[in-house]
Amino acid sequence: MREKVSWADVLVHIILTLFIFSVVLTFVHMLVLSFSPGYVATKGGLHLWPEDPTLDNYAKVLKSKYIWLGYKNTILRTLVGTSLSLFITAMGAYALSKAYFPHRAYWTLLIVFTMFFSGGLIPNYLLVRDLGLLDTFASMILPGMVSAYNLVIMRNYFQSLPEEIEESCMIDGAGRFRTFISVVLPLSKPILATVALWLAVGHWNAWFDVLIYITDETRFTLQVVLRRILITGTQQMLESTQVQEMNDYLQASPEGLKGAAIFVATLPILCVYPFVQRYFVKGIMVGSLKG
Amino acid sequence: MKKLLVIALCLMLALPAFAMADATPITWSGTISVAPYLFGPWDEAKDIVVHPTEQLMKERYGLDVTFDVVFVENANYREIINTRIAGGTAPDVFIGGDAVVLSQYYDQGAIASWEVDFFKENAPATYEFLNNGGYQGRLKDYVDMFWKLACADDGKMTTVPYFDEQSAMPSKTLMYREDWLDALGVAHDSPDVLPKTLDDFVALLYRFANEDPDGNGVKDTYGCSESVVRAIFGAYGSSYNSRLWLEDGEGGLIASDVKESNKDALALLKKLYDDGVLDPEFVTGENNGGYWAVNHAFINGVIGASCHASIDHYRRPDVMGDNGGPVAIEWYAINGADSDFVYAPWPAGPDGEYGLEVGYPVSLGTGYAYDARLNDDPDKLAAIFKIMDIFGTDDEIMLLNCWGIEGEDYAVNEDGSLTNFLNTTDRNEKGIRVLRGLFGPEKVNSERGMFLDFYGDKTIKNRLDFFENDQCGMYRKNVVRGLLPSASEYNSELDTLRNETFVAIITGTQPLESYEDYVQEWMDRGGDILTEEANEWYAENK
Repeated sequence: MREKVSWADVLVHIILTLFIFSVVLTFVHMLVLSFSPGYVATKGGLHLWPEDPTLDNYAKVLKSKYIWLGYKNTILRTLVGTSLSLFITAMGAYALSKAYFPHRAYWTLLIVFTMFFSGGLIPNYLLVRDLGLLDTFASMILPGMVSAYNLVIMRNYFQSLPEEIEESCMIDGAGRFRTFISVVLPLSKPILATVALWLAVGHWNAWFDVLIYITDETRFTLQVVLRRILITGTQQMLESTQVQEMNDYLQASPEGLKGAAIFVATLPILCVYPFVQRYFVKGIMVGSLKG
Repeated sequence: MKKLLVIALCLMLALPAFAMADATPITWSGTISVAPYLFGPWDEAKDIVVHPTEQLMKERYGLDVTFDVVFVENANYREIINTRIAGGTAPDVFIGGDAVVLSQYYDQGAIASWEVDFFKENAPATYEFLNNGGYQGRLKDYVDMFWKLACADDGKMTTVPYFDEQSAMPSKTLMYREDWLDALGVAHDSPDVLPKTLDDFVALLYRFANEDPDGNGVKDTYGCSESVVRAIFGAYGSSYNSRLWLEDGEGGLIASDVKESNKDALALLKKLYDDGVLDPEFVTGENNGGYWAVNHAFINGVIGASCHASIDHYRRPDVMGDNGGPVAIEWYAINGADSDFVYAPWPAGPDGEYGLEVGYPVSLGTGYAYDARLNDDPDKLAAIFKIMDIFGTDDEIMLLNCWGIEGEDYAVNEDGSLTNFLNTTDRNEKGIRVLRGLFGPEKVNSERGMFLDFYGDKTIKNRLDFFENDQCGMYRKNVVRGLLPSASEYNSELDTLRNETFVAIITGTQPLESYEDYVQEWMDRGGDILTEEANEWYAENK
């Protein structure tokens, strides 16, 4: 049986297609620029097909030592940061999801309370400094390890799991931790995948904490390296350094190079996205329903 | 003891390098951290400069110092440095910024300060070079201004500026598209035959817009865009997007924001806008992103005249024997190697005024500041200035730090100037110029340093030659130097008011008659206080 197609559906599809187009076009434009020599960008306009294609930009980007160091640091950070955050958040959320947890309302309030305030940049910096975390890998992971928002979303999901499953597990002799690991977590894959994706994207894209806390260049993450490539020469610097600034422009970052750097840095996360996407939608729905 | 040290140091400086090895060692030792603007990190593995300099400092001057080059990203520099100052982890030498920021830091006790005599004692050669008016004493008249800039209101030094003739030179150049001039039959053999009055200039802009100079049969060209708006304000002796304090002809000062002649400039611009001669997109400027100096509208043949960039950006290849200035390269890539741009004189307005504004030849550079903790460690601060003097007097150390290794990183030209082979990223990695801030503000404050960095540079000569032409060089200056007491309170609000009003009048969303109301509002919102302060300053410093 054919479904009836209403005008509203057609309209929605057209609008959404246009929207997708507007997103994809910018990607294509950047991709084309990354395969083009510098002067193409100066010409302006939208580029959908490379003229005079070249791999020079990619060669230059991939030759940079800092891109690879950045990659290493970012991957390490994303893996360690995401798994630690996920585990700790899940444990916290599980405890809070139990109605018999003593003073549950109090603890929940305490955690939710932090969502409305932020210490501000300098107090955060002082805290990290006094914890002795400056210029360490841990400064990228520990300060934002548990986000109240993720915790609440996860708690809501755990609350939706039937208590009986856990009880049956305990009857079989499992302790609390065993129940959590073997039963609760496997049943919660959608929410875990969702939060993991948020965390991973967050870690992958994070740059500001690196700028503030890290001084050792070899610990810089990919986004910091990328930013440096992207912003060179976009602002007019003081006149006194104009000659130097012009040289930088000549040799540093024409548009094509920027395009190549963007793709080198974005491609991995683009590749992961489609595979986690189905959990993403599902997890959000389930997590928020019984909020 | 300290005096002895100073005498010993002076002696050492006077002696040739080979004798210095046996001189009395300086007692201070330790690490000095420095954070200049770097376009990429310094790479210890590739370093050819920093560690050898430490070595030389030790061998020749007995200075046991380790340099720590801190990379702070340029785009967020202020934010990061502020955080580090608050956290007590700021580098010893960092970029404070312009006079406004430095004075704020000083008031908050965030940066170090010292007596002029302390500087003189520890960096005698630098002091003398500066106090004599810089390179060959060219800027003797500005020595007072120099010390004013270097010192806070209480007379203590908070930074070391330098003599910077570049900021007293026009930084923008008016240019036409040669192909359009040819198409319209306008002679352009020398700057003298191009339009020199505002009327002739405007007539040419109309022809650019109306006579199809690109010959494609479509009316798709404009005369000019944002940069020329500034030049037109300049022709009326005023400024479009900055605040200059100018003599009002009655013995006092007036802000360019509220000059009477602005109304004439606005009337003309409104007409250009209405007639389709001024690019309707002028508000967003001529640059579509990327390097700021690239004026896409001009390069791609949307407008025929522009003063968005400088003659350096549009340096022709023959000047340096390279591919040309950075924007010229883009130009030739788009318009072909046989195309060209024409440097032009500024159009003069009804009172004979022209051009944009220029600064004074004394500059903070990027405004280096010294961490407040150095106040408690005067020996270290003294060592920093001693090192500054070593950079100024020890040719070998200076060349190594500013240029690298001869033959590999630079070549010596016949006239004694140097040609650099490296781009800035490579220079950063190798350590060249990463100790800026220790050897002075961006450039070494010595005869030789200034010659190599500036006066011997062919780009600079190229500029100076062009400025010799009539109506190509002189610009107006802001009469008030330094900062008015209430400037930080009112500046940004008044800037916004001015910018918005001017655009609104040009594009017709506000009538020209509203200019008087704007002047009143400008005064009410703090302009009258600034005007009063400017006039007080003028009475004292005239």
